Amino acid sequence: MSEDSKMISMCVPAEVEFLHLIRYTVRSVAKEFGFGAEDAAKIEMAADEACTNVMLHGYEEDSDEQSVYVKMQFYSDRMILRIIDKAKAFSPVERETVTVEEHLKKGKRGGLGIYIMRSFMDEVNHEYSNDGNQLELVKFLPASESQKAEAHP
Amino acid sequence: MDTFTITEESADFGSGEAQCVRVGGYLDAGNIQQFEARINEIVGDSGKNIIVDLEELEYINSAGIGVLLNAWSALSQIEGSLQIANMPASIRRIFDVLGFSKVITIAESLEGALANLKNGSVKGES
Repeated sequence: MSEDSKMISMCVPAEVEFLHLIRYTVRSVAKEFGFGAEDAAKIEMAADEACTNVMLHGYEEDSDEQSVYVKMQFYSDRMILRIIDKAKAFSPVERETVTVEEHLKKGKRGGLGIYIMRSFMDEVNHEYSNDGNQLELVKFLPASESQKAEAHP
Repeated sequence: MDTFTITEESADFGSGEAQCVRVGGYLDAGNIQQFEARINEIVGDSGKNIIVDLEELEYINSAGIGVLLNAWSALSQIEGSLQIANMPASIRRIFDVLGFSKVITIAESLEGALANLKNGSVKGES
């Protein structure tokens, strides 16, 4: 039997002016489905970083398609946030993460956003097909910590 | 419309002056270049000690955090300082997870940040 879930999705132009709309929606929806303010803020920030990558680095200027699709799927124990684009291949999963200390010591720019996604979400997965990129960010509801441990011992 | 604000004022801490920079609103990819330019200008003009008051800040992205880290680093290299004050709890928790507070002094209030300067208890680059 398939697992019950509810899906909310939005499609926005791949322009940074729309980031606040994505953040507001993701945070509000996460709270609606049971996440506390702190977790909702973390999910919001991870979504912002993921969408910023697509908007700044994903599409070529002359590309006909210039949209970011944000899909939020809710199960009883977790939220799966999918950031989908039709841009060139870009996998944050394969990028080097940079912590605050490394940023300072090595003077590296960038990479902090990837670190945020990995730190704030329970899983970060990326797939690329001919259609584009799909970044999957998973966050478990706090009550399901034991289930998370069972799934990923 | 989402945007950010910056205002500045000088504050005396007994043995010198600090520049208090109040940052409010939303910092994201839409305005981060303006924010970075403004902070760099303030760092260049303000002397050595800056207190960044984040009481009115609603949101900051990784690039915004990077701007603050770079400003802190630039000031540390000239034996200056950058502190954060009045950080909203929601943003403080995020900064803590990132390890930001291990390297940069976060004061509860503007008065606390001024007292840190007076006491010489501000974290710098080692």
